[in-house]
Amino acid sequence: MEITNEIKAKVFAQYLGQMIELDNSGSKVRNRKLISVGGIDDEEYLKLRMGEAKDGFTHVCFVKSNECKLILKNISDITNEYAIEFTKLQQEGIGKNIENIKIGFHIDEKNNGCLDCIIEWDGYSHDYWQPVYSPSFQYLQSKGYDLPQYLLGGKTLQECGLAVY
Amino acid sequence: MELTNEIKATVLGQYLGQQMQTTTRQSQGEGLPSKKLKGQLKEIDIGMVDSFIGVLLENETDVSNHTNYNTDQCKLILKPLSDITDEDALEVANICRWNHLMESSRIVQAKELLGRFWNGQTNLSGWDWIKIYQYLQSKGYDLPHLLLKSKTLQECGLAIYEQD
Repeated sequence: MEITNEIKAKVFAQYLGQMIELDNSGSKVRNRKLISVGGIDDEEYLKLRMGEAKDGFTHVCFVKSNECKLILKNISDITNEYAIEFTKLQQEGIGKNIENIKIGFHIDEKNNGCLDCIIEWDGYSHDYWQPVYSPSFQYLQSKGYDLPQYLLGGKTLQECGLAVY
Repeated sequence: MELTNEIKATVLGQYLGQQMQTTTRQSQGEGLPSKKLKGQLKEIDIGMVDSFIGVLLENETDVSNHTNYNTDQCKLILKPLSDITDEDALEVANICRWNHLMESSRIVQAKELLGRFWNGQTNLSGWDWIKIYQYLQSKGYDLPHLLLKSKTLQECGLAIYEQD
């Protein structure tokens, strides 16, 4: 499966608002917010705009995809705070009362980083596998976690060289 | 959760490459006739001015510059999930690995699955769900989004449907 520039632009657009680093002919920029994505017709260059530097300075750059990488987080490094919020979203999705639940949590590395939860409620422990249905997946993406992408043939951005951790 | 301009731009950006319509900047002034511009969303910008986002739209007759438009005027042209085509339903069934079923059954079951997209659970893996969501999004279907309080773009005034 060829990963075209159009696909790369669309994947970058999924993470609009996240941080980015740029290594463009020796000019390195890091920790700038990605505020614009374009250039989906171009065969070689992405058009990006980066913002939130000193004095609100922003600039547009045309870069090859191997010169810019999103700065994302490995799903294996998910924080407890986000894991709990994620699980609450799952619970809301299946209509369970989210009061007084206890959560055990780990990443299923063999299953594309899906989240495997053990939850206690109503006094019982439920060894409970949780599907990552959309709201929780969107939550993780909005928090800058690197997730597998359909457009990348199921690989994560980091695996395709489009992101660093 | 407030639907800030940045949230709206972030969600719209996830549909890069889809059709969008807006009102041209000239017609946003007083006393000028309204003129709609419709084309493929080629570029999206969170924007530097409150209540505006930057977009670049292109169609066969108009090539716009990257211009700031009032966010409320920018509407993606999407399809309701209830109008999913048999072809797209079949791809969803393929993601679900229902290859043992007849094609007609795969289509029916996929449509039924999507009809209860936001409730209940299935034996699908998390990765299956992500693939289904991303596939439908890439095909221009209007889907609920967490950043929109789990409403769809159309429900939040960020999209219209093709037949509207």
